[in-house]
Amino acid sequence: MSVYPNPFHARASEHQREAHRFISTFGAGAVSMLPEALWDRLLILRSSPGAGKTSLMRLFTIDSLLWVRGRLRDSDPLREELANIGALVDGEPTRLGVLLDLDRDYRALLDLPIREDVALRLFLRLLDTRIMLGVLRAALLFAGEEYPGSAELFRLEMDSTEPDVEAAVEWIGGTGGGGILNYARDTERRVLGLLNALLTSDLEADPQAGHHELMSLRVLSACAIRVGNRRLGAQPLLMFDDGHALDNRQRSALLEQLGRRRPSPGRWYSERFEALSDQELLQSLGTAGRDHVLVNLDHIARAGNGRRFHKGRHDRVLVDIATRRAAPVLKTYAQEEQDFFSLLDPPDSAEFPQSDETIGQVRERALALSGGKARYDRWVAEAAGMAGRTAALKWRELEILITRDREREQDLFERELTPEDLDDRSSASLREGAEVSLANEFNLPFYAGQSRILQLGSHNTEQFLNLCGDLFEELLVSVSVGRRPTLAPRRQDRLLRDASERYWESIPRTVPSGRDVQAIVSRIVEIAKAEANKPTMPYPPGVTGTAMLMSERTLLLDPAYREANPGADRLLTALASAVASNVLAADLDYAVKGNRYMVIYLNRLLCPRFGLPLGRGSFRERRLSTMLGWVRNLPAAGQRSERQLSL
Amino acid sequence: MNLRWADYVFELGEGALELVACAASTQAPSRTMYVLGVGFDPRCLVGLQAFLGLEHPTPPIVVRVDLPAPTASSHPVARTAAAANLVAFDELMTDTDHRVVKFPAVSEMANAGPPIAQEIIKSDFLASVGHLVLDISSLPSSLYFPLAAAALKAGGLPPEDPSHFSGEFQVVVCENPQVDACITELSVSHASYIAGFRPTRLESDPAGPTVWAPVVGEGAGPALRVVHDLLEPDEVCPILPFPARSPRRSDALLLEHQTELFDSFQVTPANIVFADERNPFDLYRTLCRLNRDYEAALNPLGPPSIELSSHSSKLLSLGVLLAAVEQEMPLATAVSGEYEIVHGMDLASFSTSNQLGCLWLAGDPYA
Repeated sequence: MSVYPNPFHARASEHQREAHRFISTFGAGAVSMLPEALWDRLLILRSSPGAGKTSLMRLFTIDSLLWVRGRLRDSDPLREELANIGALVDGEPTRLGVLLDLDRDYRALLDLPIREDVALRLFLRLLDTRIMLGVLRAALLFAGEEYPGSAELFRLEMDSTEPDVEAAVEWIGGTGGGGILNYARDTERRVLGLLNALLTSDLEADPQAGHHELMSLRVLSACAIRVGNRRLGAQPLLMFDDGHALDNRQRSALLEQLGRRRPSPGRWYSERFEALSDQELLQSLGTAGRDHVLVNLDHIARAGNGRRFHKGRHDRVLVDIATRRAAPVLKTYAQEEQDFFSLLDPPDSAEFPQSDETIGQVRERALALSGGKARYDRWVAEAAGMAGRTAALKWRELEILITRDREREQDLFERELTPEDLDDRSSASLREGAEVSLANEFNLPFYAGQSRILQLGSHNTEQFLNLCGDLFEELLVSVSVGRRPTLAPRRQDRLLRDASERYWESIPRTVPSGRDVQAIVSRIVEIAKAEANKPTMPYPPGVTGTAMLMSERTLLLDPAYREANPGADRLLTALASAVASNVLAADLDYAVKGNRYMVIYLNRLLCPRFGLPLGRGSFRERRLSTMLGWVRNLPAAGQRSERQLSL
Repeated sequence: MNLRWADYVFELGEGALELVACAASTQAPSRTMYVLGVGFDPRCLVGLQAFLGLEHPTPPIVVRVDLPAPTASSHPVARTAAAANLVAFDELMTDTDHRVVKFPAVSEMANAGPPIAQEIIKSDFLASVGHLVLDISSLPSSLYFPLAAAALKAGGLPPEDPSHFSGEFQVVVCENPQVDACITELSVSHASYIAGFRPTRLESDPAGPTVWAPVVGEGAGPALRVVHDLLEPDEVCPILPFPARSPRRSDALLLEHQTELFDSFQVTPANIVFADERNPFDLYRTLCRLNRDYEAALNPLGPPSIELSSHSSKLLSLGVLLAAVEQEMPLATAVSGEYEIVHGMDLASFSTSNQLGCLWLAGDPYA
């Protein structure tokens, strides 16, 4: 442990309340992950935990926008991005962004001893008051006034005198800030009183007066906002975070309200991606694209969105975030001007102490496979002209390619293979597979350098920053003892393997049904190892996932099927938990050979623990009946851990 | 500072049962009601067996709070032990008046306490009962915190209130550090406020700083992280056990949780608080003082909220409970439904280290 603070471990931006700390470490490029239609229809953000939903929303809160307005120069990339999407016009915020955390008291309302419809109406009432409080606070802040001291300056101005709107205004406490605040206080007191009721006599308060719809949406769509004498130009933007924390009935009710086709304030809603649940309730929200936009942040991080956010840009965003976090500490404590990643040496710079022995062994095997045939002479000559790590890798690559060639139908004339043939038959994936197998065999560093750290982050900001934190801690130790902070590949490899081991070990402690999740991971690893042991490496760089037919996924979601098939419930629970916790990543509707699959990949951070490659793309499908056996035939827990350790 | 339990009645060890007998005798001929849960923990029946061994001038009533069975992915030993303990309980009850309180249908374990408390702490359920004993040895904190708080609150209600109860109220716990060390909580994936102990600070009021005082224990890393995520505190005051049976326990805990405490939560050494691991009333007093001092110091920044969580022994958690009840401090818990027992350990073999504790919290001594 160093004596200096580690800027990566004081992590998740949602924990950093101060706007300046949040903004100064925000990766501006992430704004481009958002679609163009942001303000006039319901925007649904979905991703695995830690992918940055909350941070993205938080950027649009009035606190953040005001900070950007007041403190960043026009040329700052973040300010430019916000201007590009219309959140700032002429330097002024156009949105009164309000972030509403749905992981609060809402779900507990359904556990109260009251009727379900009453509980749902209370939910809408409580949410209504918090929406209005958020807008009230944001408007006062925007106008430079104090909350709640200047609440009386706030006023809603009805643009029309529709009876529905007038009635809705009454439901939220009137048009004045004071009335809205009093109504909110009364609502909160009553609801919290119910939630904290320990005795029967505490429950006597009448809980009947709920809301049958979100009145605030109707009010905010029909009213302008005035603070004092100033009519605000900025429009409310309501951002509902962590929708997965709601009960399904609450979620449906909220989405139904947010998806209604009528002029409304901006509405964003975020939730965790769940590949194995009845999450697709979106049919009721109208037409995708026109009435709502679904933004899958995980997918965009991996593949881009086909517009401003290109494939590979997410990596640059992550590097930007890490660099911003590290720079002040490096500069202050180490007088180091270089950025964080330039202090981490790439794996090809690793010392290669057992060079001769390693190269000799791999070369002998490749030569034995070639059998001295003239067909491979030019390949062999090319490898023989290389030295060190490059040579070892080339010989390993040849081992695989010669084995493949020998298994193919032979050319009629046994022609000599050229270096161009070698290029054609090889690939980046094959070379990665060759490198990882060489690293496993000769204990060489593989998991090191910027690109592999990015891969290990699995496109997940939180996971990536945690890994950076582990590496940065080591740099800080160097700083503490007066050494220049750099990290050799072997040390990076060790630290990242340790992080992988800790992640694996943490699964039972931190993931629901964690032991079952570990069992599923172990089975996928078994498949991966069996494939990796094949001399031809048929799926380079290696298998790191499995797949289930979409039709069998539907079957697994069917309660009747689960009741009739022992283990199905447990498999569903474990798979759902693994995906929700980001241990496994699932892609739905993946088309292969006329079938559609749910592809399930290991979180990349598990790969070092099992010596697997980091490249994604190869999987081996398994039938549902086989997967049922993975959890149905689990050995006792003690035996299980020994078995897993032997993998 | 006037504290409700400035003077207290507490016994750990051989005197604990005498305290139970003493309380029963003060209310004779009213009956004693003994409330417990029966789970996989080998300590769950220790207190009951000892209690049944006492002389009872009036036949006692035993109430078992029905606990959810360990899930399919829990350790098989835990599942077997839970079933065996239920059989043993039934055998103990052959000649004893007993009742079962059903576990309520709730979406979250943290919300189960109040419905159970409302079922038990009411005059028709407690008719003829003058002495209530709550054995928390095998109850989760999400149940025993609201139950104990409800029993304490019931004493302050007017006699005509249907929830009024003014008899003796005691909490019994069976301590055994060796058993604690062999049990690991699994699946600690999120945290909640315990129902009955949610923050009373309104969002409509100006927000002041949040200070979190977690009682730190071994293996509590995942729980500390998820509670921190829930509370998002401005300041953290970890509570460490000292004095302790092992004088180095605090140091070991600091080493175990150094990344969480110092890097993630950015705790400064001056914020570390110590409390006697064998006396919950010491922790109670410490927390009450902490609350008073922080309120005085931070009030200019807006009303502070001092929030608590307990990740150590059950005995120490009672200090947290008393402070939370008296000072109305919010209480959070990490939600876990699965347990694992260290492979090859026979928990029953540690029974010689069992030690009963009894806290007399309301009734005659405080009249």
